[in-house]
Amino acid sequence: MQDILASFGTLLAPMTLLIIVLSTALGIVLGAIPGLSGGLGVALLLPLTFGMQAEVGLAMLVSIWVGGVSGAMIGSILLGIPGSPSAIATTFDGFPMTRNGQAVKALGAAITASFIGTFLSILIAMALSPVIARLALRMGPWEYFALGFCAISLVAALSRDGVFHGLAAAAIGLVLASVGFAPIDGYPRFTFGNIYLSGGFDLIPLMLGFFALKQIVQDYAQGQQQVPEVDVKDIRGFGVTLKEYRDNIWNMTRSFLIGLWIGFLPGMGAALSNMVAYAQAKSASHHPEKFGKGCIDGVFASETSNNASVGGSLIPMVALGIPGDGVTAILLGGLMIHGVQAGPLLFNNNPEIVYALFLTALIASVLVLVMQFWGMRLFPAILKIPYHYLYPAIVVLGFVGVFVGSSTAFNYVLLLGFALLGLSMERLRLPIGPFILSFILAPMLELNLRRGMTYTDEGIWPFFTRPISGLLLALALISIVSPFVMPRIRGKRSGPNSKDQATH
Amino acid sequence: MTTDKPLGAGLIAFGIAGIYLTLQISVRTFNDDPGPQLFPILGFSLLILCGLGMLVVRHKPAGGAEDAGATGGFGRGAAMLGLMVLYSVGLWQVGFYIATPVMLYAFYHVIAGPRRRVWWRGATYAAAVTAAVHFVFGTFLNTLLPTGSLF
Repeated sequence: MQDILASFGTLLAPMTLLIIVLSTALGIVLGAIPGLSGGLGVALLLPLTFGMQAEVGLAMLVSIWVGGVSGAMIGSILLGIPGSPSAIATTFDGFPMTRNGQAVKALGAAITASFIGTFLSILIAMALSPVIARLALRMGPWEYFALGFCAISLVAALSRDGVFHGLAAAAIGLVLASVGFAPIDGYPRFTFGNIYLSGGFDLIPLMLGFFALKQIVQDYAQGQQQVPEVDVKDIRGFGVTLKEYRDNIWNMTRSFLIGLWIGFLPGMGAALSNMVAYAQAKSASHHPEKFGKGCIDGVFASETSNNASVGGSLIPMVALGIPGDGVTAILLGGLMIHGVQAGPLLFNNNPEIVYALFLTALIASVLVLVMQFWGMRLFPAILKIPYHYLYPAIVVLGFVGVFVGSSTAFNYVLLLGFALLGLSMERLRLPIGPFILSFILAPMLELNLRRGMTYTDEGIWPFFTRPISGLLLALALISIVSPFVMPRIRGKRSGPNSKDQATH
Repeated sequence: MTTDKPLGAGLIAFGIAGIYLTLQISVRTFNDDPGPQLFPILGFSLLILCGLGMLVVRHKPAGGAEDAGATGGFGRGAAMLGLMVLYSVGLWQVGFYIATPVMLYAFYHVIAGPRRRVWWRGATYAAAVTAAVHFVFGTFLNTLLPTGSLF
């Protein structure tokens, strides 16, 4: 308790608090700009922390990160362009809500879900880090592969155009992710001698091509010039009714647990959790047909889970010294720069650092809530900008965004190629969700598939015989087969009943 | 007309071509390791399976599904894509500071259409956005903005 109070005292020093406030605001802005993210902010500002006290430097980086994860939903909801991969699923219902004139309601739902996700996950991370970390150590490559495969199957099976369309989209993602150096042996696959393809396809051009450029081409092609109406006048509080919160308690709880668990698994993170939570929310919903057309449940699911991954990914970083995702890897680097070694002994050796990390995340989540609450009535002003001013700026941000990450003009080709692929997939009714999910997960899937097959002499069998792995693969199989089997079972059940009804 | 059958056939052809290409990879790693071929073969096989499924199973398209290609003007979409290609060539050849204001004006001109466009507003807008991007990325974040290969 003394350590907690001491860390709290350090963080509440006026200068440190000012740094946290400014960093959180910067994180929100970076998260909201397509192509940038809180992660990029953490990377860019890491050198600034060299001269700072460890707790203060860390506070700055964590604040940007927390702000960035929450800010990513602004672009998703208002423009249909996710600020980062962690908010991809938020676009599925957030943007249709905006087009239905419910931008502020969508923002309100996202802001509260973000806060709940971050705040509770940090509290859990504080309390349970050492215990949960021990659980993670028991998972082998078989379980990781099965988990990834199960996630893709669940999302693909929910495709409204049928399982085959969903799985085909996922397969295209797997195939595209195979381009570049293979894991383990580093063999260059499908590069055709092009050095720019050696590292594989970057996620930023894919995301901006699929969401930003594709959207602009589509809107222009359809002559879309009408700016959506925004419901600012009659909004009270967060713009979400108590009933809507009540109806989504279980949805948010489930999404929170998914986000926490996925965030805590090394190598996964918010980019995956939002998609899985969205798919689960849709499959468990009484009105799945409303998803994708502006259903608030989808926004709650996505934003609770991606923010819950913040606390989740801190657990392995603090307790094991293993980063949960790319940003925590940079944070880990920040700790090491300040001479702090993350891992099982961190709680004993540097408790003040651990608690400063967690407390900063808590403070930042409250600041995000306050800033976004005041900002949510102003953010939709962006929608009042006529398309002939808004869209050219987005195109420029897209091209500059893909360049700054890699400094190579080849990314322009990728950006345009992915925009074209997105348009073609839309035309062919191939869903984007399974494609992006499998593209993100493919490297992890392949690595664990190959590791799992080499760790024992039993080849592929442990994937089916180990309990958790077997269970997840069975779940994946059921999700794929059920769209074919369930209608037949229902048909058989309703057949005699309908005859009975007819005779009575 | 449903696109399922031609799509199914296309996926099968793509899958077969992909498996053929993958089989050209000849690398030996170590015992029990399936090597770099396994994963792409799984992906391409899944494509073939889905293609076969689309050919065999009749699926009724979801109600209300929007057919972007059919409802939208193909020519307008192609024109917008063409402008984007032109911008990427501009960034590559002449760099950010020349390509961006020129293409911003071009995008504004095309999207605004004859009724809404005002040349001086477009020019001011192009200059303002270029300056804002320069400030955010170049000055504030200190990142490298695209430089052209000609200048």
